[in-house]
Amino acid sequence: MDAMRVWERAAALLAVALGGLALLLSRSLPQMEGGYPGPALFPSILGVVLLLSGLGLLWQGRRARARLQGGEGLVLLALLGLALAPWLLGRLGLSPTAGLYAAAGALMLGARPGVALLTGGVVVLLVYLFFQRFLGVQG
Amino acid sequence: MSFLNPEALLALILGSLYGAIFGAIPGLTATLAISLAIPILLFLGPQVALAALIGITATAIFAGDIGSVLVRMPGTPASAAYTEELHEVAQKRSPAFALGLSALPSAIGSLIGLGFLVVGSLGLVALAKQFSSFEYFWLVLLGIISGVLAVPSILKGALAFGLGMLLATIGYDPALGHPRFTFGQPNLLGGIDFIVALIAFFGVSEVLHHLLHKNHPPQAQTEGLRGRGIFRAYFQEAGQFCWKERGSLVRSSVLGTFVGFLPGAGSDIAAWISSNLRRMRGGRPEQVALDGTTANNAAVAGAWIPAMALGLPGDTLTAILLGMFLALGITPGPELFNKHGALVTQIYLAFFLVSVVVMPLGGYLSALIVQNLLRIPMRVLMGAVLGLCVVGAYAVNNNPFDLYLLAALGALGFMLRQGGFPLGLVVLGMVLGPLLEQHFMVSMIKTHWNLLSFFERPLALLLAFLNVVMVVAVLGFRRGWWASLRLPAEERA
Repeated sequence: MDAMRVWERAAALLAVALGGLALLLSRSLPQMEGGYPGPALFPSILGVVLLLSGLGLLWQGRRARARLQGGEGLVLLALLGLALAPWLLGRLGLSPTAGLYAAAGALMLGARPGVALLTGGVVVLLVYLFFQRFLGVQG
Repeated sequence: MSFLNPEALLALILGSLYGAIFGAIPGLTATLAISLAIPILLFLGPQVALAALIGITATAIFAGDIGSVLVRMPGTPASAAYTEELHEVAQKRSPAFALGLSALPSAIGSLIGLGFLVVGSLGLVALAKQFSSFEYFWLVLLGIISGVLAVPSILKGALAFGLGMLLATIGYDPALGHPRFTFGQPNLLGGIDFIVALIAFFGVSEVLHHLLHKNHPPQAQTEGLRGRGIFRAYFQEAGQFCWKERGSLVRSSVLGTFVGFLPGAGSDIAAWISSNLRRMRGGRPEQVALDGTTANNAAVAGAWIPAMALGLPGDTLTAILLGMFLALGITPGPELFNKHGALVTQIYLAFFLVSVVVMPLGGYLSALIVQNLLRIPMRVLMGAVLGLCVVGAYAVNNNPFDLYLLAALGALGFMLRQGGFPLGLVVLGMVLGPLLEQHFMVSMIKTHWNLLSFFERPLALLLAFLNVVMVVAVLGFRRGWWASLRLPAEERA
């Protein structure tokens, strides 16, 4: 429950930030003829909704204890690795990239190296045969 | 009846199998399945091609539940509305029961939708013609309100929905076509692809969740289910549950058919409205999943009503189907009924066969496969899911930029999931948000910003009244079931 509060607060802060940003950026969007609100209307409303709900959640959980449970570093590492996917795709191609992520994912989740390698191999084969050969996905 | 010729039956079965594969794999949609099949189907003649098309559309929507049962990842947007509940049922009871709960109501929903398609299409189309942007606005708002008010914490629901809708505002706006929040990035001009977001929120976040809790993995209940056990869970237990919930089955089927036949609405919106209504009434996960899966399959048949009778597409799928009709030399509308009566009957029969035979048996087959797949260690399965997430996100548009979005939205989905936010509402915001904005702006432009115009048409007034009734009623009896819902929801997170 303590760990959940951390993520709840993080999401609330993100909502406040995004809500504020939406309000700020909406001001530069054009109006419609006759001065009626145009593209800015809904983002502004959403900005207010996000600001209020984010602040409400922060206020609601202000006294609750919040503590991370550990293991978040591994999640961050996985996300950073995932952000490398476009770069890897350009160098390795689609099926090897998919296989690499499958093997790395299995390994990070605790599979033995041999099993992780096998998982990656199966994914490479599946992606190549089904996506690339049958569906014609480029890569 | 010429429909029972072997070629058409084979096309129906192969089309169903093909649709089931596309439906079950996240990132591959029924729309994609049909788009890829059309060049081949055009050479097969109307009878065979339409049989295959019906097989694809009907089973792809049902098969979207297989991913939800197996790895909490909806195969199609139509399954996203009740993924968490269906996965919870699979964890608590058994995957076979969860798939029975998906296949049997899907079949019944499809059958009831077919009933409407056969007997009531013209009457329903007359009602659909009364719908303008005002009525659509209220209908979409009804879906949103029912979604946000259905979750235990309204603040979390509003935040999740707001984030989803804000994501959907990226790209060209529907009023002036002005780019919003693209920061000069041309890849964002068309907006965030919904399928990429779906894969990130449900696929990547699930893998990350397992990574965080890898020392305490959740155990699926698979013991004791072999052969007869699967048969009993799938047919007997799920069948008994469906019988107990027969009133809900009929209600959800009627609702799904109605939403499905409205132009622009489709299976996903039907599933959202139906499952949210059940959540609001304090429904258990089994009941929520049953209502959602019944409605989305009924909507498939419902979408065919305006397509066949008026030549108006109910959703993207039927828009493609109409193109297919025209390519085959058939003009949809009254002419279809006058000149191609036999073909119309064949369409009805194909729906009937898919509902009565293919869905229940195909579902049983998938229950057998899924039960065996669950014997694969979760770390291996989740590794493969991560690899397939990368491929699925890329394959949608063949655009590497979508992989950056996958990582960013995966992180957002993970954060929200860990914080106990309902991820389904983010998806709801992405689906219904643009529709709400579009219908609002169209209505306002038509009436020069006369807000009273939303209350001038009788049907719009009725829908507005329904919105008010829903808000008042839900806020009134929320206090009773909120406390009982809050704890399980937080535990789930």
